[in-house]
Amino acid sequence: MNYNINQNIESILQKIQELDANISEREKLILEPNRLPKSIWHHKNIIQIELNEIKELKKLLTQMEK
Amino acid sequence: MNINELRALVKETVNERQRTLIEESLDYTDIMNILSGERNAINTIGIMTAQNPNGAPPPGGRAENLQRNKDFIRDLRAERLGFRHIIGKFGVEEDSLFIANISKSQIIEFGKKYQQDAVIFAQRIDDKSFDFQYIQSKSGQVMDNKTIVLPNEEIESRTDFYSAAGKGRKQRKFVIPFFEPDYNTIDTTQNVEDEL
Repeated sequence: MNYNINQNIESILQKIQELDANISEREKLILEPNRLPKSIWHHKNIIQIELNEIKELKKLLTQMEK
Repeated sequence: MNINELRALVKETVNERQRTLIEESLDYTDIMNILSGERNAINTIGIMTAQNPNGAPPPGGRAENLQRNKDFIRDLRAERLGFRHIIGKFGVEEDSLFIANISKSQIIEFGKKYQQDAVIFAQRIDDKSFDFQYIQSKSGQVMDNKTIVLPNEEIESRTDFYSAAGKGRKQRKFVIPFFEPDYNTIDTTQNVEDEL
């Protein structure tokens, strides 16, 4: 995902919070009883994608602060 | 029943059995031909099940799961979409449908209707390959994509996390290696930018 360097810092922070909230929701789903392995696999993979996205956004924030 | 009637009955049963075996083996070959882009009339593919909504077995168990797929089949027929039955094994076995020439928006809508975490959609790229997309039903977002389908000895020996077509001894496995980093991922964003 590409983020423009001029994007508002606030919107990036908001996006990080959204992703963080999504991850928490998925972690709860994974721990629910009766959850099927396919569903756990699905949510774990998406958590990984969202964590990578957070990492990229944090990198971008660091660049902007320099 | 006399001896001639009995012979006729045996012959009929044997013929039926042979016919079933041919159909089963055609099922797998057909699907692999489609997946490798050889069927020119098929430009998109959808793969999904209506079973196990929200990633858990339904309260009504197997009966409810069977009914869910029957309802899904009724929807596909109403939309005049052709399909084949396949199996998905992801911890537990579930019945999936392989649908030809379905649109991306149609499969996403079905995914939402039957409360599926994800659906698979494939779009033909050229005369030999498809772009297979793993789509989160709720958002419609493509979470991963691959251009490769694996039907090989390693896949055949898998006991979990595979799809399969055909029945009994004629059953053959295949995998679209979503989220497996060793296999290619297409950067569709890049392709669009290149074209612009």
